[in-house]
Amino acid sequence: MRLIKAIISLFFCLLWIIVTNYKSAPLNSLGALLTYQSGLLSIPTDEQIISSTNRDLVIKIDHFGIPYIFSETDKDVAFGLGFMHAKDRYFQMELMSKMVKGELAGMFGPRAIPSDEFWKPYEFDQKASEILVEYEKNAPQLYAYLVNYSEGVNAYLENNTLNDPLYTLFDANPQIWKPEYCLMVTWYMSKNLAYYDLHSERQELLDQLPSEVLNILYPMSPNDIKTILPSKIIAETNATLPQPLEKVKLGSKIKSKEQNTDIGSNNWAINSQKTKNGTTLVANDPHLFITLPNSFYEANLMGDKIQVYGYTIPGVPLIVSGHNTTIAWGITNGEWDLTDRYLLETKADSVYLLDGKWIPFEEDEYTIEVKGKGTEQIKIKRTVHGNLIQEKDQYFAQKWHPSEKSYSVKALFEMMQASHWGSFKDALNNYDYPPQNFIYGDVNDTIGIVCAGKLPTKPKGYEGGLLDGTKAPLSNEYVSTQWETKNPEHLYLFSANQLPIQNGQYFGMHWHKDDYRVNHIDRLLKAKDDWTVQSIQEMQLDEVDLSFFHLKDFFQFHPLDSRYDHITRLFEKWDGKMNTNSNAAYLYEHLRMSVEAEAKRYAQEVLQVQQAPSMKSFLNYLSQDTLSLQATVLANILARTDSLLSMEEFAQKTYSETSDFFAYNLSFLPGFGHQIKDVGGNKNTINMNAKAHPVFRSIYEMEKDQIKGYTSLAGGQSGKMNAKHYSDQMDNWREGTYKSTQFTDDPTQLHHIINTLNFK
Amino acid sequence: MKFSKYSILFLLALLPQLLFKEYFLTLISTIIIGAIAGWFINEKRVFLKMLLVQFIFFSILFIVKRSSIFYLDQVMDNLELPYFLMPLFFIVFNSLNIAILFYFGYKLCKLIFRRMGTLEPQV
Repeated sequence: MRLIKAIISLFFCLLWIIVTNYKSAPLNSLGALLTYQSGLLSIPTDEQIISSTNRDLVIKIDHFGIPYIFSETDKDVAFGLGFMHAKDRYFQMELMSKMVKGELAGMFGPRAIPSDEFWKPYEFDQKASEILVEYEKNAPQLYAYLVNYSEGVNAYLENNTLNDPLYTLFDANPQIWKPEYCLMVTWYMSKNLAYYDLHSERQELLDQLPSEVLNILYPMSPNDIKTILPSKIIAETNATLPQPLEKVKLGSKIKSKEQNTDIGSNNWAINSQKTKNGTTLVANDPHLFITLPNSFYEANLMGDKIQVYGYTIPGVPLIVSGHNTTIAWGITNGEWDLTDRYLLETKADSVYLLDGKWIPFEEDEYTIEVKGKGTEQIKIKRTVHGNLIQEKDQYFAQKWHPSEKSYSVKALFEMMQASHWGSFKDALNNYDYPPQNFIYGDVNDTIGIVCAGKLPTKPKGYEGGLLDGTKAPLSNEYVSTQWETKNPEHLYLFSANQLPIQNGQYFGMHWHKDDYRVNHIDRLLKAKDDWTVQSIQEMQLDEVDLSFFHLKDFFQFHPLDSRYDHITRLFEKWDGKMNTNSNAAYLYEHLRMSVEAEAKRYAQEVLQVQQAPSMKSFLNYLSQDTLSLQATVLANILARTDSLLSMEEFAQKTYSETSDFFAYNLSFLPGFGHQIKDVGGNKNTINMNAKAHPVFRSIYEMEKDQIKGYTSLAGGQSGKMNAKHYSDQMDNWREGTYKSTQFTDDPTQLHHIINTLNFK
Repeated sequence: MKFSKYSILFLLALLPQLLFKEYFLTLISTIIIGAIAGWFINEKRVFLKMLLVQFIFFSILFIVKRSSIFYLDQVMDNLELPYFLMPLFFIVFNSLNIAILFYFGYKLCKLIFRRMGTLEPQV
């Protein structure tokens, strides 16, 4: 009996040991995580930073964790930035490089296989190595800069214990950093910012709808759109290229993967004649999905030729938005469509028709490492047009132009050293991907904007649909025009992801986007002639949704009965401000979403197409249609709004009930992140609050002999959850409080310095 | 004499969790110390005694090092769980874990040597 009891107790002990040792990929075992020395409790929050020696380098760190890096040479500055990026953001850097290399599953297990399946076949690690070799020959200064940056990263890793809990949580060890990884950021950002693929949906619209309906509901280039540049530059088109498909028969209702179309950004520059102090102003607030840590990292680099302040992307030693001693710049996403999708004719799942001949698919096989599972094989089929994609019973081939070699890092490296408009736009002439609108301002009162990127030449008349896969693919030709302008008569320039110009050239899927934000920025900039830093800050925080006034115009022809008194009152009294404590904003957001839902229903049930029109296009369409249709749609909108909450329930709510959002930790582990409360705005406001938000806000004021900066970062400088700078700026960001930046070549002039790293 | 022998072995079992970065070493070491204890001592309620010793020890350790996992409070907040669950979870888990590992070694030793017929109380 004693023996049986002993065996039973041993069995339960063994069971406990197995359970507590089990590693459910990608996470470490419970035993390892919770036990003192192997787990989370022993990770220090305060780190003693050990710097390497023999460098002409001093780094001062302020009370926000922002590094000020001083050296006589640019390569030592790069070393210092690499050191600081590794200290604060190494997990984020490694995540980016592993993703682009298609090695994420080796760190995160089976759930990351789809990511590797996307990235691995593009062989970006090979392309990055080749570009680096080219830089070694053709751009030695940049090559040395990248090599020294990598040495800085690795110097931190070698001399310090990485105290990031994420490495413990994922049972991973940091790998060394290679210079070619710095080049991977262009592909990473291109996937985030320039991977739109709604060609099947667009083709359906082109096939199904008469042009008079298409041009109102899904306008490729509406007449009233405010373009970034004056619309007089004619882009090149090549009429000899094959025509896109006409009247394609898609066997079934093909729907592409969900595309995040909420990403966007704002930037603008105002000439000194339109400002109160006679100083040129440049403002920027890029909109991205906010994670902790933020995608951007603030830094000051004071070297020989490189003397810049602004936002870097961890993993690459460049200031992508900021200023140097004479110029300032900011970015917004170009949102150009760089994806060609070809409809294929196939047989037996193995051959495709090309110029009358059946050609077998090319096949490639890749091996990926999967944490906890060993290795796995990925098989990729290709045609001459690009990678094969199967959706339901239909085959497509797709070419994603940014998958080619990209030299954007070199362009940005030269741009941040530019001293005037000419050298600025010349540097960006060689910029590839992802397409960005670079706003510009300088101490000599020049403002300008460059819409930079490589736009593939499309057939004349192309409207965004599918291309014919039975014919040869389009040749790799790109529009050679540089879209740029400076010093306009109206004294301001801005971009908010709208079309660069209006000339019939197909830039992207702007045909299903609202432009309320664009119009609001334009109105505000036009209306005021005494801009100050303070009023620019207020504008970046503006929460007026212009769609309200559009809807109000529509409703004025349709008086509502007493059941909808609360909506009538809304239209009579409200100012359209999506403030977090506003009851009217809460009601309007539901009304707006009801309009969008009705637009979707109308598209799918009445027009028999999948893609919903934008709210603006839908209201424009209704305004031109019969009163009976308007009344029907209106009744549906009201009924939908009414079904959500009663009038009494609406009266008790404020917009904060729905406007709060959750900023996930980069790991996307459940529960890890911050609930951000009391955030106003919506997808149409300048202060955007949708899937994307302003990840930082910056304002640069150009005085005669210096540039003053004001910034606000959503989150903090550190990517470590156990660090004090992990999210210490989030409250300031939420409240719209800016900090004054420090830009000086004299380290002794800096304020609020809490740490100094001396490498000498 | 008996007290000190017990104390040394029980206290020795607390050390691996402080020494090894690699959890596997902590696990093996604790089991081995448990097995050694199985050879030297013959006492009732070994599991409960180890549980109590580890509970007191880890509670102190947790209080001292609590600040290094302050960020987990945010996780509890996000998951709408009370804050006290986090220390409770850490302390209870560690108390149970070390006690079970120790007891596993202790019991295994007793079982093996009893089967071999060689084990006599070494007190």
